[in-house]
Amino acid sequence: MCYVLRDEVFVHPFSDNSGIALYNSRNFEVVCVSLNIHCFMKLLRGTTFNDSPLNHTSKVISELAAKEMIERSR
Amino acid sequence: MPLSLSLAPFSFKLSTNIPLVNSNLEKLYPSYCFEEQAFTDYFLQVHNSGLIRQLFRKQARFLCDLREPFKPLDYSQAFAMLEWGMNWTVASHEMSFLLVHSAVLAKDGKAILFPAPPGSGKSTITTHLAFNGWQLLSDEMALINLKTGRCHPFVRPICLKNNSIKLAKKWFPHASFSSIAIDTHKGDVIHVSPPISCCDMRFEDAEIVGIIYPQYTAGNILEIEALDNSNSFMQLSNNAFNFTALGKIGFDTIVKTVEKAKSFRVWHNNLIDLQDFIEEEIL
Repeated sequence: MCYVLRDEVFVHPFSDNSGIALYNSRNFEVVCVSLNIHCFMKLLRGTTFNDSPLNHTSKVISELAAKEMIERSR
Repeated sequence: MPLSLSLAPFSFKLSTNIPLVNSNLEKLYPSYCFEEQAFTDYFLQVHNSGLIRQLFRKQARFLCDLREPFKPLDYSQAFAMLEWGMNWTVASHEMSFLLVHSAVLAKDGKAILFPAPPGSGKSTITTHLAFNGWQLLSDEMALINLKTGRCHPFVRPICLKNNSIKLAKKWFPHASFSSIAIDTHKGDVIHVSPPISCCDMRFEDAEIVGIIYPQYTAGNILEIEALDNSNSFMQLSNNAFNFTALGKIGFDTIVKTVEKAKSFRVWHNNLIDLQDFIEEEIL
């Protein structure tokens, strides 16, 4: 399953929880964040998000990754 | 008169005035490859260089659809140049498949990808497996269907380099080998025709069940490291030719391929051990 972040960035969390692949459709750039962050996967899959520090970090990582890709394409 | 070269799923028209190219084609390709096709995908030429150049050092030139992508090579390397030129032609133009720089072999309809840079022993593995009952889909590039994710065959001669030439001639003395191209940018190069059983299966696609990133190493060892999907994804995308040009569908195809296959990095020397590992652990 692939998810869309910020309109132009597609995100694929791998089923083995080894990380996420991000694809920027504007500049065709691909990034793979190789982290074992289970909660981050849950966040992207839309399951309940608990506001723990770890989950917050995951959220920040995802936002930064998407932002970085969007910035680079401009 | 241009020669028809039907290499499923693509068809070429080849014009050449170099006898070495014709003799190697006849030796390495089965007769059905030369049957006339209704449609031609690419027009290729392999010609010798101009009149003055022929007087002191003959060279061969390769053209695809009247464009010349490479500098001329030594005349004795003309056939190797054609094979590399066909690889370049497909890798640079095809958008109907995801193209990955990888050998592909299959058994019982289950395919293993071997994506690797030159010098990793990819062609030696390919030759060993193809002559030991496996189906050769390609020695050079995997053609992955964008809808089904299955791998299509593109059966062509296997390109052997340097030390692997002696090994292949020793292991399979009855195989058909091309003339040797000496001192190319890859060293000494020879092409070997795959077994006829592989050619007969040129329309049979296969499901990708494994991805092995091989690395030849000295010493009689076999080291295996299981790769997670993230690692495998990055390596596979690095080996893809038209990944960025395809856009999101290319991204989706690589993601799906990685998700459904087992991935390993393998340091190998003993091909029989490697074959046993693949047949017992992946197939």
